[in-house]
Amino acid sequence: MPLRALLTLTLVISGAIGLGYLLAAENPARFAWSDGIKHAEPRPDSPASHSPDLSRNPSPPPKPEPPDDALGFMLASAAQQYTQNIRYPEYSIPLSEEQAKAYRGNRFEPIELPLEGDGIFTVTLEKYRFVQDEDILVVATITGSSVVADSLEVTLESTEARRQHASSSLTRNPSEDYYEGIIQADAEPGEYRLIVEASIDGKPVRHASTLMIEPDLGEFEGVGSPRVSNNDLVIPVQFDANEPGFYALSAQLYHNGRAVAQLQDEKRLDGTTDTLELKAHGSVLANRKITGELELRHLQIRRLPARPGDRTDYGFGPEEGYSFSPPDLDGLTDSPASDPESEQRAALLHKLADKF
Amino acid sequence: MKTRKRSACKTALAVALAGGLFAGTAHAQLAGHNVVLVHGFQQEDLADPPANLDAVKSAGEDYWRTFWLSRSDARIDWGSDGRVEGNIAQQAYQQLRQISQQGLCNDYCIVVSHSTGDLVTRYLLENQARWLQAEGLQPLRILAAIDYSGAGGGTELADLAMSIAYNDSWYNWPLKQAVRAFTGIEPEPGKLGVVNDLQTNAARNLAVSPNNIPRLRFVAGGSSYGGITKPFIAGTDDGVVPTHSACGATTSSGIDSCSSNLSLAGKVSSQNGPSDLYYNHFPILMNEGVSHSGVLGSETGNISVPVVNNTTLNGLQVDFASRTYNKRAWWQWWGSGDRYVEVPGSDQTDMSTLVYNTLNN
Repeated sequence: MPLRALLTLTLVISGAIGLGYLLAAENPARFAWSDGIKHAEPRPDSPASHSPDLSRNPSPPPKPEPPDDALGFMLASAAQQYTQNIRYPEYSIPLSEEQAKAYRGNRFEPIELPLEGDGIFTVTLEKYRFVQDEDILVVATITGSSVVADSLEVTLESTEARRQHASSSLTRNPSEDYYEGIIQADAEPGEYRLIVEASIDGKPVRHASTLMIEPDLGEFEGVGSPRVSNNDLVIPVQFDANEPGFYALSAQLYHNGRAVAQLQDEKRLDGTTDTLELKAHGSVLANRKITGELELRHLQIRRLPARPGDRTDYGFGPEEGYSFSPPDLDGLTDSPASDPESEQRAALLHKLADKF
Repeated sequence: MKTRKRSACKTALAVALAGGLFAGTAHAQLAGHNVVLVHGFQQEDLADPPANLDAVKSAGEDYWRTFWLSRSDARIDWGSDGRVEGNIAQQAYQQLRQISQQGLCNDYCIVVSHSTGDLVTRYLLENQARWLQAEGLQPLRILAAIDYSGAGGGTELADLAMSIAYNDSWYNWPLKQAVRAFTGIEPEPGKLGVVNDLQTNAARNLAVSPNNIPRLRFVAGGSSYGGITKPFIAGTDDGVVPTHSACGATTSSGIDSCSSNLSLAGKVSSQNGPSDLYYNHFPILMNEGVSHSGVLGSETGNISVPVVNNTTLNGLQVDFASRTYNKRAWWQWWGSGDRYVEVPGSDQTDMSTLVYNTLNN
C-alpha cells in the first residue's frame, strides 16, 4: 500500500512538472492554445512577404535606438513608402498579382447569408456589372443540415421601382452540390437586386444581392501603333463613343502572362476624336527584359459623371484584350516620374515625419 | 457610423450656432494644414430623413463634437438616406464648392474621415477636380486622408441588410437583431440609403481607381452594440466595419489584422493578414479594444499598435524591442510570456487625441 501511494505521488509530481513545462511561457513553440484561425501564407509578391518575421527572431542583436515615438515612426515609414510610390506616375503604376485582381474592376465576390443552425446560403456571379441583354450566370450553394428543394427561383428587380424584370430557375447540378442557372439582363441600365429564393425546411428564404446593368457606351475599335515618347510607351486605344462626355479608360499591361502595370487616361470624347492614349512609364518597363508581344487586358471605360448626382457608366473591352508588338524600348529609363503636386505632398509628409 | 440623439430644439440651436458651413476655429490646423471632416453613416437618417441641407449640417456638426469639431476648418456633411452617386454627391459638392471658393485647401488640406466617410471621400476625390474646374474653380489640394475605421471596402452587415429586407419577420432572429442594430430600422427595400453603397461588392466597385493621395488607416477592433454584430462580419472587426475594409485590403475576404506578424492587440505572432493593400493605403495604427465610434475620441484605456511591416526606415534598421513588452497569459505558469508591440502610453489617451497631439507636437 505505501509503495502504491509512493508511486501515485511520484506520478502526480512528474505530471505536474511536465504540465508546467508545457505551459511555460518560454515554450510557445511546443504548446499554445489553438486560436481557431486559419493562417494564410503570405504571397510571394505581397508586402507582407518582404517583412521580417518578428516571431522567428525573438532576440535580435542590438540595433540602433528607434525613434522615440512609434506613431512618428509609422508616419515616417508611410512617407518613405509614398515617396517610393510616386516614382511611378498616376497613369502607370506597378501591380502585384493581388492588386491586379482588385483593379481589374467588375469583380463580384461571393455573398454569404447565414441560415438558422449551421447552414450558409451563398450566391456568386461572374461579375458585378453586365450590359443590356447579357446572360447572367447565377451559382448558389446551400450548406448545412437543412432540407432544400431541388430548384431555386431567381428574380431580377429594379432597386428604385421594385419592378420585376426577369425570372428564372436555378437547378441542382446532379454531380456537384450547387445550383446554377441563367437569367437575362433584359432591363434598362441601372441598379438591380438579384433575389434567389430557396425553400429551406419548407420555409422560403431569400438571398438578395446587387448588380448593375450598364448602357452601351460604344465600341472598342482596337489599338493604334504604339510609340515611345518622353520616357513613356504610348498605346493609342480607339473607342467610338455613342455620346460625348468625359471618359476614363483603364487597362492592365501584361507581359508573358504577368501583370506589369495599371494604365489609365481621362479625356473628353466629343466626336472629333475617338482615341485615348494609355502610357506605360519607363519606371515600370525599363528594368524588364521585354521579348515578344505585350498585352492590354481588362480594358474598362467609364463615362464620368458630368454633374454631382449623375451616375458613372461602365463599358468593357474584349475579353481577350489586345496584343501588340512594342517598338524598340531601349530608350526607356527607370527614372522617377515628375509630378509636382505629388512631390510637394511627399515633401510635406516627410516634413511631418521628420519631427520624430 | 455613430448614433446621435436628435431633438428639434437641439437641431435649431446647433443650426443657429453654426451660422454657416464652417464650424471650426480660426486656427484649427493639423500640422499646419487645414482639416476637412467627412463623417460616417448616421442611422437616424434612415428612420427620419433630414429635411434639408441645414439639418444634414447640423447632424454633421454633432457627429464630430467629441473631439474633431473644434480642431477642424471645414466639413463635408451628407445625409445617410441618400446614395453616394446621388443626393450625397450633390450635398457634398455644395460644400466642396464653398471650400474651393474660400481657398481653404490652397496649401493642402488634411481630410479626416470616419467609417463611410472613407467611401464618400474616395468618390469625391475621383470627381472633384473635374466638377470644380467645369465651374472655373480651383480643385481641392489634399495632402493626405486620415481614415478612422474606413468602410471603403464595405461591410458584411450591409450585405446582410439587403437579404433581411427581403425576408419575412421570422427569419433568423440573431441575424435580424444585428442588422437592426446596425441600421437602426426594420430593414425594407428602398429605405436603406447609403447602406446600399456599403455592400461589399458595391463599395469595391465604386471609384476604386488608384491615385496619388495617401490614405493613412487607423483600425479599431472593439465591440459595438453589445457584440451582437461581430459574428456576422468576416474576420476581425470593430462591430461595424471589418478589418479588411479598415486596413484597405484588396479583397473582402476576412482577415484578422493589417499585418501578417502582429495581431490587433500587438501580439508578435503569425496572423491572417491582407494578401495585399490598395495603392497608397498605409495602415498606421490598430487598436483591439476601441469600438467603431470610440476612435473619434470617446474611449481611452485601449492600447494602440503600430502596424510594423517593415522595420527599415531610410536604410536604418529599427528595432522595436525597446517598446515591446512581454505578457504572461493566465495559463502560462512561469516565464516571460508573449511579445507585444505597442505605442507607449497609448492607453492613457484615445486614438484621435493620440494622432492630433503627435502631429501637432
